[in-house]
Amino acid sequence: MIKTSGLKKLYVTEEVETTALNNINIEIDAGEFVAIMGPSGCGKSTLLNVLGMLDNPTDGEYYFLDHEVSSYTESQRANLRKNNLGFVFQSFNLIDELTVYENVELPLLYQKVAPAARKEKVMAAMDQMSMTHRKNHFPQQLSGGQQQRVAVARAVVARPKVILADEPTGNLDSANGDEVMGLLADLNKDGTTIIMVTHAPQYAEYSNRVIHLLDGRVVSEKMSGAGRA
Amino acid sequence: MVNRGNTKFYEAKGMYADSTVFDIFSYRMLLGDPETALTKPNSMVVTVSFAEKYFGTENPMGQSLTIDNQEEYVVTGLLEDIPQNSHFTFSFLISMVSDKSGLSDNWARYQFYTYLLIVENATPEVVDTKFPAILAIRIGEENAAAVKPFLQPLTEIHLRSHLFREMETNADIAYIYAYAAIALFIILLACINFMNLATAAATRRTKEVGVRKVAGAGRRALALQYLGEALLMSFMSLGVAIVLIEIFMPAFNGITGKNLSANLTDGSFLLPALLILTVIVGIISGSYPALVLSRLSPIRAIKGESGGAGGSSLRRALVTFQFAVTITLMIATAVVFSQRRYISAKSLGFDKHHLIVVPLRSNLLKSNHEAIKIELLRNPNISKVSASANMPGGSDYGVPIVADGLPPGETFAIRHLIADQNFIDTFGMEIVDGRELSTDYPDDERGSYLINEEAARQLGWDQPVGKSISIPAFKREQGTVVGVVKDFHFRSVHTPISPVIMYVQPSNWLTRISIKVLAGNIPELLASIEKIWTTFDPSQPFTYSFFDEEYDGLYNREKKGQQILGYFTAIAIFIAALGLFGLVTFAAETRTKEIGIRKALGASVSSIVSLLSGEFVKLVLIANLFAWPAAWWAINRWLENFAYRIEPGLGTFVMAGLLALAIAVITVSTQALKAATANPVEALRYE
Repeated sequence: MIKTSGLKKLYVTEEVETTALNNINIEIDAGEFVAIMGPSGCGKSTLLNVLGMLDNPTDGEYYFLDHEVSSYTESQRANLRKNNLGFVFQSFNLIDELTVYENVELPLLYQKVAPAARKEKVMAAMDQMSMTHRKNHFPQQLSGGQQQRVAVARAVVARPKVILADEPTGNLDSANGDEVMGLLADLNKDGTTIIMVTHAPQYAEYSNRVIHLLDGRVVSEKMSGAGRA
Repeated sequence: MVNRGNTKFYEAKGMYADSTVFDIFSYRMLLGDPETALTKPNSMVVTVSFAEKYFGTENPMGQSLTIDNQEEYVVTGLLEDIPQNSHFTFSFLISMVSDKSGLSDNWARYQFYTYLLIVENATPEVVDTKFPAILAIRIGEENAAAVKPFLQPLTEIHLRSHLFREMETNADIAYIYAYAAIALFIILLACINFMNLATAAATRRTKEVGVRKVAGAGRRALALQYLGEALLMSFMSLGVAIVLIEIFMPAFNGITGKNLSANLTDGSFLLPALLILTVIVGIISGSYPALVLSRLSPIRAIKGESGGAGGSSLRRALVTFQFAVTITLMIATAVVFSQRRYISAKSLGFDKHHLIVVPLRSNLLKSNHEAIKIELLRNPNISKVSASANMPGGSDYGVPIVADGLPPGETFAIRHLIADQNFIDTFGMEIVDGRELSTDYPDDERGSYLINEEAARQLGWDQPVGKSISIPAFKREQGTVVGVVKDFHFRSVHTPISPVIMYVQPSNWLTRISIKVLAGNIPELLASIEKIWTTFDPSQPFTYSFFDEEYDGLYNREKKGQQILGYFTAIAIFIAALGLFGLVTFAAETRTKEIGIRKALGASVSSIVSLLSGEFVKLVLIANLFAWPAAWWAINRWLENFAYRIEPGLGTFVMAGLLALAIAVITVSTQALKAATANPVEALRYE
């Protein structure tokens, strides 16, 4: 489903050239739950952004569902994104001006889903995350855990093939963190591919494969948690 | 004509003046005694530039000049040049006692302008009541009853007086008000920009506010700080403005044909007024940002949270106002320009093009006009010529006529066009009934008339040809209408077409010859015309004018007004667009995160652009609701000035609205596009 070869990402500022990703060759199959780990600044988030097509690689090839997307334009990428990907961020990234319901509805609007179907899907996703009672609240009125549940609801509402999660538990206490990880594990069981960046080893255990990065390179790939079982 | 030996010029600016003129007007006399300068016959007082023209560096005092090749005058005084903005200007004054016409003593004639200096505390209205009694003694009860003299304050004349035969062409206070209003609106637009951008930027300064508050700054201190910043900005702008005025004043004077100067150091009201305006502008622009910023709570501020959400509705209202003003100005400009086009395209009833007008200054020229005409027509580039006493666009004789069908004793007011038999042909006018005047009919010189259609209409004549007319004032007793000329515009199209009568008078009435020329080498043609003129009278300097330029002079004021309006509108559009540009840049910046999220979720570039632009587009649309009625009112007031005017249709309004919309969309979408095409990951970076 996802394959990269020789993927490279450079950040060039005035005088410093930083290699964020260097020769990344990975392959992820449908239905996998992959955790990406590594110290701060190792390039995990950059990798996730490239995989999520939020950013273009500087060099190398990236196949997403057999499309070579590294040279796609922003609008082509946007098109692939909205039909296949869901995102969960550390800082939730909900839109403050929109209600919970409207935030969850957003991806469906961009997919031009008919209003009746939209309502059904939004209610189902919020129900799944037990957020239905908060649908008219604004993000600022919710706790961190609740906000992240809304973000997950938004990520799953369009039934994407892949969910990309960037430190989804990073801003949460452990109880809320466990809960969000449980939700992601459930989604994976239902067949959604999940790629997650995390610092926390205990949450990496939820995945079936862990990719370790250091200084922009893959240093190890091993089966873990669910994968070993 | 004034001459000293071979130095001769036509001087349009000479006047008779009483010896007491210097008691009333504060002219500065450089040489000579104001008390006695104009007491003797044949004495004259001249201005410096006039003296230089004739005497160069010589002392003009005691020198003599000849006027109209007749009388000699001795210079008895030298005046500083009369300032351009004086109530009236002149280049020389001749003592009133030199006047031999006797008109200066004739109380029944109104050839002279009379200025009175009334005693302090006297009431002009009371003075007015004394006039009838004085007049009755001078011209008899009966004649005095027909005249109603009244006093006019000198300072009111230039802007507010529109009497017949004003001393100088006066200005109209309405124009001053209109320009001031537009200038005020432009300042307001700029203030709004400052308020909008400052409050918008304020959300970025919240951290600064927080830190200052934590460090102990009170609300008052902060408000003063921001107000101070606005005032500083406004004073710096004043400095820039003064420089810009200096740079652009010559160009502005060029456009307006005025001679304005901005002298800040002469102690007039200008400098204090500017300073007060600057302070007001600073306070208006600074007050709102100061209020908003100082109100932020320190904890929220230091976290970088803006309390500015409430301000956004005010910002929206202000942008709407800006665009309402801009659209109003655009509509006004469009209407003014199309009215102008309408006027120039409107058939005048004659052909004003390719006509050169040469004055007949001397009796020698007047009496030889037939011979001159024949000489002119020898030139193959000259097709038609006509001598006349006046012509469209110029003066006419305010003399009533007596005509068939009028009740006994009643007269009919009509404009007179006194010209030879070739006028109709030379000016391309059209005869709709009867015939034109012709040398084939000897009677035409004394007893035949042409009238225009309007005259026939007002006189109620279905069959005008053959009706009889007399003009007692000119001792023309019996006469017949021989033809009807198609209506033409004697005056500008401001006024409706009025009745006109055309006829021939003896050659001493004639003042000019109009020459219809074919396209060709104009300088060469003028040289040959000049040659003819000087052959007939070498004593007269040759001058000429182009009729179309002279006639178009009737619209000079409008033309200048339009140009100024056009520039004002451009400035307003620019300022409004600038403000919008700033606001959308700011909006894009504060919504970077939202844009990133939306894009991560699959929003297309166009949906982001429309998200950012849509709001502003809505404001521009709302602005039309305010602009249209305002513009409707203003243009109708203006169009009332014209007897013949366009009916501005809905199209003009829609076009202005669309134009404003296009400007807004272009402005907004450049910035929105930038925000929308940015890599979403930039926006989603961890905080």
